[in-house]
Amino acid sequence: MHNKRLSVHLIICALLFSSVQSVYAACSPGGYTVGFFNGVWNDYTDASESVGALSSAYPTTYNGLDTRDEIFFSQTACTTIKLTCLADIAEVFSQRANELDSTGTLAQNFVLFWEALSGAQSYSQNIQSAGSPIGSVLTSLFNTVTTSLLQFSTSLLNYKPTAATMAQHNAQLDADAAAGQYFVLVAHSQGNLFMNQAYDHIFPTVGAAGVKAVQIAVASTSLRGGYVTSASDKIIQALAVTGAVPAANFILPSNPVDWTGHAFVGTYLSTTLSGAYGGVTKTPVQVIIDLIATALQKLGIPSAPQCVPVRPPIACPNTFTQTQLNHIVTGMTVPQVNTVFGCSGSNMGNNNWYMWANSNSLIDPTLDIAFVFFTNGIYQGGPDSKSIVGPAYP
Amino acid sequence: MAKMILLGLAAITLSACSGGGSGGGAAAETPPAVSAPYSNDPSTMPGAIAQAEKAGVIPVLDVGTSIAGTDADDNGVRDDIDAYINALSDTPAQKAALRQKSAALNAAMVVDVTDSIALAAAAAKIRNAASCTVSRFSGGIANAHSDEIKKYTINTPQRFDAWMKFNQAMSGSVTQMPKPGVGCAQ
Repeated sequence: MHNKRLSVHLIICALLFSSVQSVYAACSPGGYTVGFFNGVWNDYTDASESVGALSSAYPTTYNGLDTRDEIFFSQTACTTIKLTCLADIAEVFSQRANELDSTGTLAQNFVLFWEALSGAQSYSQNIQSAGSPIGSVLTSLFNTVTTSLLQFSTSLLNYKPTAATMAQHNAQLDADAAAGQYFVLVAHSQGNLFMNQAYDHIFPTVGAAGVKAVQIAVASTSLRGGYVTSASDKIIQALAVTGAVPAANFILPSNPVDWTGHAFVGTYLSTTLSGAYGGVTKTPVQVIIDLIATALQKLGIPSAPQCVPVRPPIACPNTFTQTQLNHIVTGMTVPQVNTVFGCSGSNMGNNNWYMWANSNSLIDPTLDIAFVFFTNGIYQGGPDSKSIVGPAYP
Repeated sequence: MAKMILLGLAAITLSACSGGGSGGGAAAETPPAVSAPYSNDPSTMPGAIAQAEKAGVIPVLDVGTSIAGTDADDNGVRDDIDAYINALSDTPAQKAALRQKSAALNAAMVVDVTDSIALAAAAAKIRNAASCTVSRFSGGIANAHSDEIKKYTINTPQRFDAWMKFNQAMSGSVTQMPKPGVGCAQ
C-alpha cells in the first residue's frame, strides 16, 4: 500500500515538473491590486468579508489585466493594557457585566459583547421577548460598551501604525510593484492612518499613474484621494471633536442595523440606505463603486511584463523536517503559485503533497522559498503570509 | 449556603460601588444587580437565558471554558453551532457556507500562533469562508448571517481571547483574498 502511494506521489510529482518547466519561462503580466486597510474595530474575518463584499464593486479585469484583492491587516490597542482595541472594549464589557451580574453568567456570555458592539441585538431582544425582566440590565451593559467605544474613538488619531506593521505592508507593496502591479488603496476608519503611510511609501516607486487612494470613514487628518464620510457616522463624529478629520460629505440617515453608522459592510456598503453625496442621491455602495471606478480610471497601464527570476528545479522528492510535514491542512482554495520548483510527498501519507514555490510574486522576494500544501493534487493552503520562511535554497 | 450569602453580599457591594455607572455617562441609571444565588428565576441572568433557550427563541450554546468545545461528528464545527445552523431556513449551500465559517473560526482560535505555517493556513480558511458567504448570500444578508455565526462561535471570554491572539498574530500581514465563491469548500 505504501509503495503504491509512493508511486502515485512520484507520478504526480513528475507531472507537476513537466508542467512547471513551461512556467519558468512565463512572465507576470502585471495588473491591478486593490489593497484594503481595515478599521480599528475590525477583526480578520471582518476584514476578509469587507474585501469579499468590496470586490464586487469593481471588475475582475481592467485594461485587459487582472484585478486582485489584498488585505493589509492591522490590529492596534486602544490602551497599553490589551493587544487590540477589541480586547480593550471587551475588558470594559466584562467589568460592567460582573458588576451587574454576580453569577458571572453575563460576563461569560460574549454573544452579548458582539451585540453591544454592533447593535444587531436579536439574541438579547429574544431573551427579553421570552418574558424576562432583565431589559434594564442589558441596556445598562450595552450603554457602557457604547460609551467606551465612543470614548476610545476620540483618541483614534493616537493609535499610530507600528513600525513592524508598516514595514510588512511596505515590503508587500514593493514586491507587488516589482511584479508589475498598480494600486488602488482603500481604507476604512483607522485604516486610513496605515494607508496614508503606505501610499506615501509606494508613490515614489510607481508614481501618480501607479497608485490612487479611496478613503472611507476617514479617521486621519490628511487625505490621499477621494473620500466619503457619513454625517451619521458616530465614531468619526466623536473623533471630530478632538481631531481635524475631513468633514462629513455624505448625508445618510441613521442605520437601524448599525448604531455606529460606521461599519464598513453594514453601513458603507449598504444597498438599502441612501443619501446626498456631491449633490446626488446615492446608496453608500454606489458611492464606493464610483470612487473606485474613478481611481482605476486615473491609473495608468502597468508597463512591460515583469519576468519572474528563473531558478532551476530541485530534484524531487526532497527531505523535510517532521515539523514541516505536520502542517497538512484541510480546506480548499485555488492554486496561487506561479513558479514551483520543488515538491515532496513520498513520506507524507494520505496523498498529501508538499511543494516548494518561488516566493517572488507571493511573499517577500527576499525569502528564498515558500511552502504550499496539496492533498490529492488540490491546493490546501499557503503561502500567503510574509512570515513564512522556508529552508535556505540549495 | 454560606457561599451563596457571600455571593449575594458581593453582588450588593459591587452594585453599590458601581452606582452612577463606571463605564460612562450613558449608563447613569444603574439597575439593580442581578443577584445570586443561581436559579431558574427569569429575573436572574441564568434564569433569563434558560427560559429563552427553553422557549426556543435563542440557541442553546456551549458556554464551557474549552476553546474547541464539543464536536462529536468531527466536522470542525461545534455541535451546538451545527444544531443552530441546521435549524435555519437557508439553503443547503448557504448552510454549508455558514458551517465553513464556524469551522474556520474554530481553527483560528486553536492554532499555535507561533507556528507561521499553521497560522497562514488558518488565515486562509477565514478568507475562503468569507469568499464563500459573500457569494451565497445577497448583499447585507451575507454580513448579517456571518455576524450571527461569529457571535455564536466566539461566545465566551476564553474563545474571545483566543480569537484576539490570532488577530494580533496576523497584524501586519498582507494576504490575497480569493474572489467571491472561489473559497467554498462544498
